[in-house]
Amino acid sequence: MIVLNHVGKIYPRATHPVTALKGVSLKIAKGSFTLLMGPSGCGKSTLLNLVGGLDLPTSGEIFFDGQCTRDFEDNEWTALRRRDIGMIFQFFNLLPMLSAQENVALPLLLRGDDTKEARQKAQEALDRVGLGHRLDHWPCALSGGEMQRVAIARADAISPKLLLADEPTGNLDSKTGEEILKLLASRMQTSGLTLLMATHSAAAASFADQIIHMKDAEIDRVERLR
Amino acid sequence: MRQRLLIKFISLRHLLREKRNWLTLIGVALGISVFVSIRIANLSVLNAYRQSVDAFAGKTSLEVIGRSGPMNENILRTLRKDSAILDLSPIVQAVLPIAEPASAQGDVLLLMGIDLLQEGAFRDYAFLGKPEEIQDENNVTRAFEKLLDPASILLPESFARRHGLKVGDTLSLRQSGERLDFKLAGLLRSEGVSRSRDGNLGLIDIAAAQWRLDKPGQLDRIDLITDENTSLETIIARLDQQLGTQVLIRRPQQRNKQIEKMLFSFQMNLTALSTISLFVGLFLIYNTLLVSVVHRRKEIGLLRAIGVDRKQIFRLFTIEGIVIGTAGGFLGVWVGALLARWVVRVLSKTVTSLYVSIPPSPFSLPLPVFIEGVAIGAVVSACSALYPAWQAARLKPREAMEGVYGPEEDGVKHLRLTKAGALCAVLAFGFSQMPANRGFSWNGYAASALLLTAFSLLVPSGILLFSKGVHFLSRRSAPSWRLAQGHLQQAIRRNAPTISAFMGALAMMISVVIMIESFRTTVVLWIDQNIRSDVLAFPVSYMSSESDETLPEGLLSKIDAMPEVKAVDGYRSRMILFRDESVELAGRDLRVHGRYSKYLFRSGESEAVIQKTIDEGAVLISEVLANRFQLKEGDVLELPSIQGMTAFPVAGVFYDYGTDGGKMVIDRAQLKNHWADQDIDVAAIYLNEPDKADAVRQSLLSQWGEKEGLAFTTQVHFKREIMDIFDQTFLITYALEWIAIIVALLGIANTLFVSILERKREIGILRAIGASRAQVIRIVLAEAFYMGLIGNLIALICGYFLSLVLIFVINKASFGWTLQFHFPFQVILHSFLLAISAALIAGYLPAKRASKTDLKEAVAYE
Ligand SMILES: Nc1ncnc2c1ncn2[C@@H]1O[C@H](COP(=O)(O)OP(=O)(O)OP(=O)(O)O)[C@@H](O)[C@H]1O
Ligand SMILES: [Mg+2]
Repeated sequence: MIVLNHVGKIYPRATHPVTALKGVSLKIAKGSFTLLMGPSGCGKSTLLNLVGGLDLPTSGEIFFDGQCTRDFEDNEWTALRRRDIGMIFQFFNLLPMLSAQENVALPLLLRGDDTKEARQKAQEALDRVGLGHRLDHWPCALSGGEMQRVAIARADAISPKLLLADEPTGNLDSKTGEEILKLLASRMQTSGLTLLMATHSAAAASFADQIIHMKDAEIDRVERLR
Repeated sequence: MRQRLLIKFISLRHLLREKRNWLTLIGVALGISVFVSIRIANLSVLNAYRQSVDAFAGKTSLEVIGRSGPMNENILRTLRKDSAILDLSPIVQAVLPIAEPASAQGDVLLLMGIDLLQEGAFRDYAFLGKPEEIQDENNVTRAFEKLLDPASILLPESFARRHGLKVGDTLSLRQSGERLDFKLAGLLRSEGVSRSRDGNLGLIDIAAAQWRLDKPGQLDRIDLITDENTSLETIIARLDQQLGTQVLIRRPQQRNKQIEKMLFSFQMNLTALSTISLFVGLFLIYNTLLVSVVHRRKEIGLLRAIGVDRKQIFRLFTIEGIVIGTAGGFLGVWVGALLARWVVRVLSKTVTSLYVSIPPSPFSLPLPVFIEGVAIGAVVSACSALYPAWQAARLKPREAMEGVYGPEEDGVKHLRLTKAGALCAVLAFGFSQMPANRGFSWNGYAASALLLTAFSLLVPSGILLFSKGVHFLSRRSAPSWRLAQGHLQQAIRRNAPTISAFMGALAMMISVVIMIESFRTTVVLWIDQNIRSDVLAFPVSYMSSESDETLPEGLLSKIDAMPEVKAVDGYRSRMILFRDESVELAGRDLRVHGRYSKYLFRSGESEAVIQKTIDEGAVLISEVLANRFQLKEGDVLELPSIQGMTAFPVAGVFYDYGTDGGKMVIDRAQLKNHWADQDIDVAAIYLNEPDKADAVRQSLLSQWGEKEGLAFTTQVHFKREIMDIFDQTFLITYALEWIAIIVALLGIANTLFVSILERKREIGILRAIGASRAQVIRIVLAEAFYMGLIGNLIALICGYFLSLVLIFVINKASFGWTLQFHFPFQVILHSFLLAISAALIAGYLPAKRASKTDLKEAVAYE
């Protein structure tokens, strides 16, 4: 599904450039659940952003489904995000002026789906995360866990091949965090998507196929669980 | 001390780093510059006018003028006997077009016939002649001696230099198709009187003037210097009794009052227009700061958390506002001074063609205006900073540091604003219904200000209503529209001032356009009714200035004898004093005018009223004059004629948009009988075959033509010329409006810039979930589009009401005109095109910027 070949990232800084990734190589199989773990600042978010095309690597190449993305233009990344890549962030990142359903339908509408169809799909996605009864609620009226579930529904609605999650439970209490993890795991099983998640939470390990431990901008070791 | 620290560390960094502050600065500077330029222009035009008036008045303490026109010189004998009159100087004068030198053609010259022995005591003259004369202390008398030759003339050095004239050269003026030649006998140094009228002034001996201007035994004016120990009232009362009703004795200042009053109304209108830009600038600062407060919530919370108190926060934001405002003031004053160069030029031209000859005024940036401009910047910005600063100070530290906030639930607040708006609207209506006093229409201006306030207060509810409507409509459309609508509604508090400012500027523009269009339509209608003659003949100088040139004697009868001509209407206008004020009295062949043309009467049918006027020897008065003196049909006017006071019943009141102070019209036979005036200014020629107008015009031109300074124009051409003058008059008005709109646009750009800064995170998410750059651009542009649309919708309604106030209250009071209301429907289309394209232009840069948002930063931690 995803192959990273000596991917390096240096943030150019006037005084001293920061090396966030030092030539990382890894493979992530289709339909697998991979955790990215490691101390703060080790480069987890950087890696996720590169895979999602939010940022470009300084060196190396990333393959997505066999495609080399090195020469991708901005709109090619956009197309990829519309079709194949869903993203979830630590801060739930819903648009405050849209209702829950609208938030979920938005990526579908952005890629030009029919309004009715998009609404239908959004409703289904919200049903799946157990929020089917709160379609018209505003984000400010939702709790943190609920917001994150809406965010998952939004990422899920486009039926992506790959789901990227950057500390999705980082802002939640452990019980709610666990619910979110369960939700993600069950979505994986039913739809067969690939999940790459950065986290500090050890609880996630029980759901994962493999854990990539990172340290100082490098892969420390890969731990296979299944 | 600590405040200074805060300003240094916080304010200055924000002010310098954030580019949008430059937009604000430029906007404020523009707003102030418009105000300043109009101030400078108004002052310099007024100064130029006063200076020339003062120079002419000199030491004169009283002047005597004939009520019916020039007076008999016998009066001098009576005046000389009065012991309180120390000096007197009789004057005969005329403004005539220059025929030679060629370089001065098209200009007019004030020819003053003066009494050489008396004049020196009144006005300052200094002579430049031959070198030895300059040394001579008594050269005034000597130079005057040269004038005893009736063909001699003295001209200002500046005039002579401009046209390359030397002593001994010839200057030719034109009157009644003939040339008046003069020999340049000496030069006047450009001081005192010689500087007025830009030097277009010539002095000749009074006897020569009476002879050459065909005013035997007549005087236009007598200037008096009276004994300071006797009060002017006493002297006026005594002279009134001795001289009878034929003359008026008044202070020279009184003459100018009338003109100054008209000038004041005119200038007041401009000032009012220029304050619009100022207000829009005020909104801009207000908006910038309000937005800063929202944008810097976290910072404020943090500052409060580390021990900065409310007062310091309040001061911090107020000072930031004042810094921007004062800097804007500085910049604005300079830009305004530059702008004023142009405004002064256009303004002098307009004032000259409308009211009174104004010499081209020297350009200057008076220190008081400079200080005023900067002070206005500081004060206005301080005022507009108060509310945002209070908002900042009010924030609770915890609240300020909070993250997510949802759609505003400001229903109650909107309702309150709406109520306040409604109240303002009611007050505005009340003011507009108040009886107008002629001149300064303070109630009209109050009503306009209230209307603008009312509609500004309605903007928040308007946005809410609009966005709800759009929400409903955009359910099925592209997501950009829905998102833009969401943003709009979410940030009403931030968007409202921007939209208000834009709305205000647009509404003013729309109302002014409606007013001008109404005016234009009215004028077109009026000239269509009035000018039915196929060809018009008048002296070339007639259209351009206040020339006294008349048509050659006998021209009328020669034209009448032409086989193509059906009838000729000779038109003559002169000034008389009515109730001590100057009024235009016109005489024309009413029979001809009544048959082939018409007047638009307030009541009554044109032909019948005109017939009645002829039969009863009555007078027709214009509506403006009727309003000015509170006259109506059936009143009897006592007009000063050469036989004394003559009674004329008012047969009708007609609409007229030609002269500012209004006029009276009588049959020309009456003018001959009672004023012995045989001259003709304009001949209106009616043809048997109107479509031969061009041919007839050609043949007239070849018979008399330019050699004699005559112009013959066809009806179409004449009308166009009138409309050109009309359009020229409103040039500044349009320019002012444009600037206000540009300032408002800066506001929109500013708001959008901030809004995308604030929504960086949101844009990051949008991109992360699959929005393309183009889509982000579209979202921001859609928001700009909505802002333009709402602004324009409200502006159209507001502008409509404003135009009613403008037309029926302000204009009526300031100028006395009744205009037919005419709503130009294309204004709707045009304003939409303008508003929306303007908003899109303003939104483009912010949109571009939004599309380049750094994604990884946007989605990273707070
Ligand atoms: N925009 C940036 N400019 C400069 N350096 C950056 C930037 N973003 C991240 N870094 C640096 O890159 C390194 C990796 O950061 P990254 O955010 O990927 O860490 P992380 O593993 O996600 O940490 P955490 O667990 O705290 O989220 C850090 O040292 C960070 O300081
Ligand atoms: Mg991270």
